[in-house]
Amino acid sequence: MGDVDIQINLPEDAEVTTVRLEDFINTDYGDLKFDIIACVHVLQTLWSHEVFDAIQKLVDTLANKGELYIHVPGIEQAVKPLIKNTLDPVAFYLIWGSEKTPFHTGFTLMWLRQLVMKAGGIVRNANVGLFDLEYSGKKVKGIEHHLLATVVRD
Amino acid sequence: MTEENKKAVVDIGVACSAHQSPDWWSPVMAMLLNTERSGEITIGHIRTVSSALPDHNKNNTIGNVKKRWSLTDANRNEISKGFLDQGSDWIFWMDDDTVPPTDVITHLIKLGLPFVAGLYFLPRSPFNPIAYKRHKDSGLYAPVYNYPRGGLFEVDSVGMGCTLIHRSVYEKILAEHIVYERYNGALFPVHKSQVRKPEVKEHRVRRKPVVKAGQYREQVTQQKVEDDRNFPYYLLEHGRTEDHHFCELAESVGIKPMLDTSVICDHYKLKATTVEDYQEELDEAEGIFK
Repeated sequence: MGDVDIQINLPEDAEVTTVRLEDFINTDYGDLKFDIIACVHVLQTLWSHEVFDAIQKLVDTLANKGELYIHVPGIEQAVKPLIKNTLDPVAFYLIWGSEKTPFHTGFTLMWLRQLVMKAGGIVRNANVGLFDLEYSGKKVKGIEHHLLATVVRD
Repeated sequence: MTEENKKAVVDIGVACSAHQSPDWWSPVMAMLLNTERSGEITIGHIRTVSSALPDHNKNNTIGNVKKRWSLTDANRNEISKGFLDQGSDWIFWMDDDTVPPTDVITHLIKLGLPFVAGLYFLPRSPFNPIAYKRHKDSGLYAPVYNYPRGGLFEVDSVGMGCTLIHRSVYEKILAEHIVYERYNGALFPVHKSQVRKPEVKEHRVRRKPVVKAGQYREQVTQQKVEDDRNFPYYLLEHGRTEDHHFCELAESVGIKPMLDTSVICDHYKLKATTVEDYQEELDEAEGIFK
């Protein structure tokens, strides 16, 4: 999901399926569970009131002890240049997205983590990092939150 | 197995207890009561011993010159031994001046990590978190500054002011290390993989340590069976606090501390050092809200 590449070590025989977030949300997967789900730079395109249900579905479709990777732009880091009145186009992108892909929700790492925990996920790692971004024809670095969670079902 | 037996049993270790601010006791008691009331965890033993950490005049109790009893590393080793000799699953370390959130033990246990710490801050400027990354070239530690709020990530070292550790970490360290005695009689552990043959049981001539060809060389012998000193999990060496040593031992058996920045403690001295002190310092450094 999303246009950003991340590195995940997959088993050699892994069967990889790519879906759009909208299709994922609207698909009934029944009892089908996924060993690894990567949700990369798309949750911010949902409205804030839609986010929890999407995360709940991500957790619910994860296999027992599976791995859920979520990457989103880091909103609190993006806001800092604005507070300092610095005109940083990357910060504008991280907050509002682009004309083609507007963002409707900004995530603090704390909020993202709490949503995943509320959905029943066990957070294994939550941190900030950099990701490659093409903005106005230039390659720049953006700041993201990334989170790894699992789920344990009795 | 009864329902009671299924609960995780957690010992509380306070390695430097003497006289605390009255403000310290009520939140700590609230934390312990809250943990028991949650119904998910049993508090095992509360293990406290006094300290003589020779910094910031901490070795003197406030109001008189009475020394505390022993150094922090010895106290922590004593607590660790008591913890391991009995059956608790976890030990939650805190200090006599840190106040963790009331749900801290339940929260940290639910993470399912063997070694995880919350945040507290140096009680003076720059109010940095007591959690560190190691410089890969110098080996020196620098505090984790400008950390992400709500983060859960690996670091190289943490303090023991708000730290939950599973007994398996101690057991693994014990199993994989040999304890040696230095020329000066101090004990230190070495990972078995670092011990080269031939092994020498006794030195016929005692020689002082030397530096030769850029290497420090010192005669050491294995800790004797009759030596009843505790395993040195914690060591105040090289001008460092004792927690760095434990973190390095844990790392040597493949376990690094995780830092949970959603868990924030107050750090009491004459008044509590709080996250707001850190934030003010950070905002000033970054030129925010000026």
